Amino acid sequence: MTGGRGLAAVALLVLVGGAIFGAVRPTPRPWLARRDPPPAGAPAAKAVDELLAARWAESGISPAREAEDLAVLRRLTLALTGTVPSLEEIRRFEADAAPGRLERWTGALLEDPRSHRYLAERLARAMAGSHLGVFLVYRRDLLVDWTAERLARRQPFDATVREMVSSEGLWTGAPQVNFVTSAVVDGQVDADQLAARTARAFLGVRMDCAQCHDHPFADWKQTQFQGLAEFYGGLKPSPLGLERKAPGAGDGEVPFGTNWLPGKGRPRERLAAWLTDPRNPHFARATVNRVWGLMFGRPFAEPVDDVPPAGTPGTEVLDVLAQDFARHGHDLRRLVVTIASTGAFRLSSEVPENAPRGTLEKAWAVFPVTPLRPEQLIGGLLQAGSVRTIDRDSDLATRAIRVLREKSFVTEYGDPGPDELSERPATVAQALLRMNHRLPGEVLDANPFTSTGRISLIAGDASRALEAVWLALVTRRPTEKERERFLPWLASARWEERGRVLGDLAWALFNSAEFSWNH
Amino acid sequence: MEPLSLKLSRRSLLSAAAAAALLPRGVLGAAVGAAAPKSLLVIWLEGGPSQLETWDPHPGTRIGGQVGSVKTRVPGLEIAGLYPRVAEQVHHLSVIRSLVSKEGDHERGTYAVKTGHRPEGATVHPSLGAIACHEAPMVERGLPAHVSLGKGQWPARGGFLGPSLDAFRIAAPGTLENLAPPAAVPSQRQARRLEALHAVEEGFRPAPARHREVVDGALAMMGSSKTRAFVLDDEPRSVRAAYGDHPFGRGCLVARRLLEAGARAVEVTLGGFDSHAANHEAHREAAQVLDPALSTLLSELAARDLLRTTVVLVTGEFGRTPVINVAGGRDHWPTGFSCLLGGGGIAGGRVIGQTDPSGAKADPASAVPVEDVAATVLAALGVNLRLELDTPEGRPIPVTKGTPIRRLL
Repeated sequence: MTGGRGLAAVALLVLVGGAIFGAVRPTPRPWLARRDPPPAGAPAAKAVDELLAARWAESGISPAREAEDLAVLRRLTLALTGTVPSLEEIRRFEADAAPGRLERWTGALLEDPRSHRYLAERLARAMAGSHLGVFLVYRRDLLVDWTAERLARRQPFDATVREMVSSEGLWTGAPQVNFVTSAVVDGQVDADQLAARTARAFLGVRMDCAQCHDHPFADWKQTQFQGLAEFYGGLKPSPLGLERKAPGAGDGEVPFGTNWLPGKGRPRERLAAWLTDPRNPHFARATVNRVWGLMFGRPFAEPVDDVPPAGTPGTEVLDVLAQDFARHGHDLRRLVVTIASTGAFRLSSEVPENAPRGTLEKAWAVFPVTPLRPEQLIGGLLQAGSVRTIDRDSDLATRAIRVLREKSFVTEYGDPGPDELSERPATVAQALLRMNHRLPGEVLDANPFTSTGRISLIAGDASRALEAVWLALVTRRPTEKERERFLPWLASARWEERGRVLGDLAWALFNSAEFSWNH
Repeated sequence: MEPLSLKLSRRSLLSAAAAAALLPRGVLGAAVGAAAPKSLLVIWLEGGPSQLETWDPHPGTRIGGQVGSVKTRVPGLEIAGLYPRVAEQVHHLSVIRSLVSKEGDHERGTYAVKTGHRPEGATVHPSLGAIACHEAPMVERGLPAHVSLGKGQWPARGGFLGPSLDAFRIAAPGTLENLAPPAAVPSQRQARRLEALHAVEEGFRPAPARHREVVDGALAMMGSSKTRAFVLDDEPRSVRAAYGDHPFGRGCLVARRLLEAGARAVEVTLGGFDSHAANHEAHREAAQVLDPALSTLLSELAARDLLRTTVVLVTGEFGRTPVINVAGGRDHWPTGFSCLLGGGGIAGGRVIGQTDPSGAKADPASAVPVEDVAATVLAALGVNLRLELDTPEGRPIPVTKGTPIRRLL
């Protein structure tokens, strides 16, 4: 970089960076200050707390202590946007000293288009899978956009599901139809595939095990599965939309709750009405279990799509949340706020001395430690490499790079597909990718565009630089021990070397368990 | 002393083989299988190679296209004229010309051939390579057991057996890729990074043991001399030239080195076969890469006695239509397509099945479902075909639903 341009760049960075490194407190964005979160779902959250407390008392478990606010901020941001909080966000969060800031922050994140998009992708995976399908009849992107839009407009989730299951029309004009066309195989809708996904995603029932043999654990029979599949029978995409090829097909049968099934209407309309009928406890429980899983990194009942029936001992928490969800218009946002304000969500991930982690995690008496999913790891990395929040206000190039890099990294890291809430063990290949892939190096090494570069230039003294790197990567300040160890590394380093030391420290943090696990 | 013991084991193996020649074939398979687990090599032709422009040409017919045919060392077997060098080596393998699959979509077709199961429900089946690694875990450390070379779109996966059995991917064969720090990081910085990493790990109390294990595993692999198998600088220039100076050629050479080093399953991918337009040109181009690489690989595997212990499968997800479309292309065709299969005790030099030279009849004679290829591969690898593998939820899944091809075993 030549002298003049370099100076100008430094001046610009100082201006931009001043706000983030604490010289100037940034003003909160209007949408953040505008509304206090409604005390939505507070009674349900309290009921969950009581249920869990009773369970702990009964088993003689003493739960983990309460987590630091920043630790909760991190898991919340990971759950709702798939990244760690940016340095900018951390500063803004800390500038809000009034009580209830975590509730406020949850509300704000749920207004943020990043969360609509992110949650829509998670839901789309559960509902329609992650495969790209047959492009001519399946536009996955449209389905995700549509779902995100429904979240943004706070549409009831039961209506969202009804639309997807029952809509007619063209997959290009009516994006929700892509739920059905995602299952097109060889020019025909694969009814079995759709029935299996319907049962898993909306009922929390793995009926497709009954596709080949009767369900080993529950009372599902092969004939019941076929009955459900029949609602999607004989469908075929045509230039006019979905067509029912065989007349008389679609005469399905439901495996339980026959009196909720409307006698009249098109087959898929009847199925949709039955699925989301208020008397059907499975729908709300399945949804609650999935959202719990997205928030905690682990569903309340595992696996996420094989939820024990209502009233099963030990799953009362699901009943409480499901009732609140169903009674309040199947509002996903309210559900998220409720779960985020439970005591369990605010617990530390550190077990008390000598306590068995497994037992405590099972009883939700400690926040579960789970590996970040690939999109969270890469999202977190890219965000940690930038001091500003990467969102729709970011320039197009930044966003495009984020999307492209995310896609290829997720593929390399191993895309878990629709089963993403089943815990997958960490692998050596992933550790190699984190350590040696060029992307972490590019994102974390100091240069005028990366967080370490900016921190190196602007943060002032070594202590503040160290703090900024720790906040950007692991959403906390360095411990006393870490300061003692690493400050001398920075103190002895001159300009360029200082950037390299910061880059190396950021690399170390990125490769630590603290970064690549949710906790 | 190593050369001596090597000779001895070689000789004893040979005499064992000679003795076993007098015994029924199944006994020989069992004896060799018990001595050393076999490996699997999959040459994956991505996009759906045309059977007519590869191993099942019908020159001079209405469907034959512009391709001629070339004689092989197997009496009566001719393959597409685009493959004169493979023709010299193909006798090591057998040709199946009557493959049938139920999947005409790339992703689903790939799944069906790589796993031997149709995609269904949310259960993701493990690929054949993953099963091989699962059933006969590799003892050598410092080298991934399951490797995928090249930029395949759907590399072999561990499926419900777990992501640690996913194929380890090297997109640019001949390089170490993620097995070594980027060249731009000097060793001094790498040391500083690792020192910092260990220091920060100490302070994180909820740290899961698994994280430490995989980081240690990764560091062990980075420090292992075994990973030399991934780089080619010690291969003579003439050898590298014979394979071809392109990613696929290098991939085949790396595959041979990995098999020598004891890798359990290796997949090398070559793309460019999805010829909906200009079918002939696409296949001519692909053949310029595949012909030298595959023929050199087969001849080297034979010369190094690796074919005895390595099952080799050369295939794609489906074939292409007999009818040439208006764009001069051929479309997807999952009935009556071809593959090469041999090694590891599978008979070479046989031809199975036949397609209709007029293209009128879709169904080939002596049809072989793709799951039967999977069953044959697994049988040759010594996997019990009645085995059931448990999903993480405890659901038992049969390792294969296919029947091994008797004529090849």
